[in-house]
Amino acid sequence: MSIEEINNISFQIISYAGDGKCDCLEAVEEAKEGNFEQAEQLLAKAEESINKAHEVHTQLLVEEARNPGIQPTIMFVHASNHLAIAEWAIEDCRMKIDIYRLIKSK
Amino acid sequence: MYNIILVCEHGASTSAMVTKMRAAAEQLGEDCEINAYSYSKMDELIDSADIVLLGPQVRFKKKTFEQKYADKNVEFVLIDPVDFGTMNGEKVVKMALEHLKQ
Repeated sequence: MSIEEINNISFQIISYAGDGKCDCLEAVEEAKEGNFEQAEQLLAKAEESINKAHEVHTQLLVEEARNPGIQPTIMFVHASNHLAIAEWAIEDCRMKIDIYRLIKSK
Repeated sequence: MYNIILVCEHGASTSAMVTKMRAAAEQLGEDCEINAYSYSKMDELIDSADIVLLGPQVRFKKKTFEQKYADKNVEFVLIDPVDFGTMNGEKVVKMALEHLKQ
């Protein structure tokens, strides 16, 4: 696998993960306003994007398992960081939305 | 000449987009200055910018920037996630020029 191919995969990961992370943040903003239905829709959309990022990321791991010796690029490391942040964002934002739900129901 | 500014978290992945966009702008015969930065530098960048393009990972900053720099007459435009993921510099530069020539 060439450097260009690895970087192309990295850009896809960054794009999907970044898009999903932003949906998570918007979901919390909606929950803050009491719009829980919109918040849930945004979380569902975020999950879809982050799953796509995860799938693309896994492709590369599978490729490495098949052909050991692939050299990771700096951009791939950067993309993995974006994915990790997005995966945490969805869990964190879900908790925050639950807290808003609790506050608003009082 | 247009000054097109791209921002993301650190200006890393958008730098790759800048390379593609510069090549596309040259092919189109458009005179553009295109650079990528971290969004945290916006205070220093805003005065010289004609347009600011945001990577999908910093979409959440759009509203904040639009409010903060409301008096600057600079448009903040999101880069389509598919165009970003495929590094489609030509499409992004055309989109930016469309906004600038409006």
